Amino acid sequence: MNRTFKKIALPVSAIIIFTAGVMWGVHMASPDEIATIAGSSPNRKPTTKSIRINTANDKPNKKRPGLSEKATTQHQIIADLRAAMCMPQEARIKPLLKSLEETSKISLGKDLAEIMRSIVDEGELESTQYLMSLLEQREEKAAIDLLLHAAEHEDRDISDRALFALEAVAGTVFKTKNEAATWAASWQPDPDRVKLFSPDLQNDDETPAQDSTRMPGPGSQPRQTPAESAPESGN
Amino acid sequence: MNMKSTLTAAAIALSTLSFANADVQTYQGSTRWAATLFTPGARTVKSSSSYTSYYIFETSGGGVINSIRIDAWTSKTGRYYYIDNSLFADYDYFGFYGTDIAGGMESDDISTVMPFHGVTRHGTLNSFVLFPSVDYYSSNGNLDISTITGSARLNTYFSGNISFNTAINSVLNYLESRGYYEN
Repeated sequence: MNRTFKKIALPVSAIIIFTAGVMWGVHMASPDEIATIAGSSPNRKPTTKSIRINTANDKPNKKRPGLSEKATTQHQIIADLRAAMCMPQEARIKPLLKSLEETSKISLGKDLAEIMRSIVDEGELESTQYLMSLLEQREEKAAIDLLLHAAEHEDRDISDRALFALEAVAGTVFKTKNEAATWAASWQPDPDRVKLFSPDLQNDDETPAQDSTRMPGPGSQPRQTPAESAPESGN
Repeated sequence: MNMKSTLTAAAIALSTLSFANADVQTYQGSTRWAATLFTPGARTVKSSSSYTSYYIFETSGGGVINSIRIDAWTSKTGRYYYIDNSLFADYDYFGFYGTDIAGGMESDDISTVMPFHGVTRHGTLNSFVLFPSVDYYSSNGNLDISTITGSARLNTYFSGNISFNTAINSVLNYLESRGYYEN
């Protein structure tokens, strides 16, 4: 009986000790070591999800929350724009224009360009005109491509507005759409304008125009015509 | 003969004065307006609109001596333009080596300053953006304009050593050739 017990107890003890050792080792290992054991690269950047889990007791990373906030803003703006596009046409305009205005704060990535293209393709006049105004204020190739696409629209109100926008960016008048396309083929962003139209610059709290010590104030010369009338709202 | 020469010289001098050219810059871009329209006792409507905008500045010695804004838009009823004859713009250089410009504008429907910021090329304002950071108030009690934003860039086609009126007429002729008519 004793011999049988000894035969069983020895391997069982060995298994228990081995298992305890492995568990202790895993408990003490760093996340990078675990990643290596699991077969992934130890230098791989952790995902946002893993940061949330792992940094409960860590000091906050000063760079990552900023980036994360920016990405969150971008996702939210695009989600709002998509939501507005899903609304019935008659109720869509106000939220759509509001969401479009927000896009001036983010870069013109693939997702945003796709939604803007669908707005152009749908061809609703008010939102398309508004969109053209926003695209004019970008110094990006993707914006030029969208304007060229809109210039080919079958609705002349939209294609003509797109031609206006291309002329605004080019700083000249195009006699034909082909002329605009030729110009666009060799267009390069102007670094000064990129800086001027950059969303980051526009959101800067220390914008030069708010510096009253440097900005001349209208009123330094007398106005010729008293202000009395307002223009009719075009839309 | 002397009399004839004198008359000729006077005629040349007069014609020179009449067609005195100025340094005129036209900027083409767009503006987006957020406004609340009040109809007393009836309803309040919040609206957003966008216009193709032309700003024409006549400058002398670095200062703006004449300015005008023309807004064009398309609605379901047609294509229109509106001439803001009393636009007042003033700007000055700031920053290092005079590379940037800041300024303000007043419009005939806006009672406060619309600040803008621009960049220059070869000493000329090259492009600018309007800041949307201020709440604007209209002089018209039925209209509260809460935000205006937009941008414009130098359009060399309508700019140069020409008279202010020539630049205005060129823009208007161009708009009318595209089917736009005065509102």
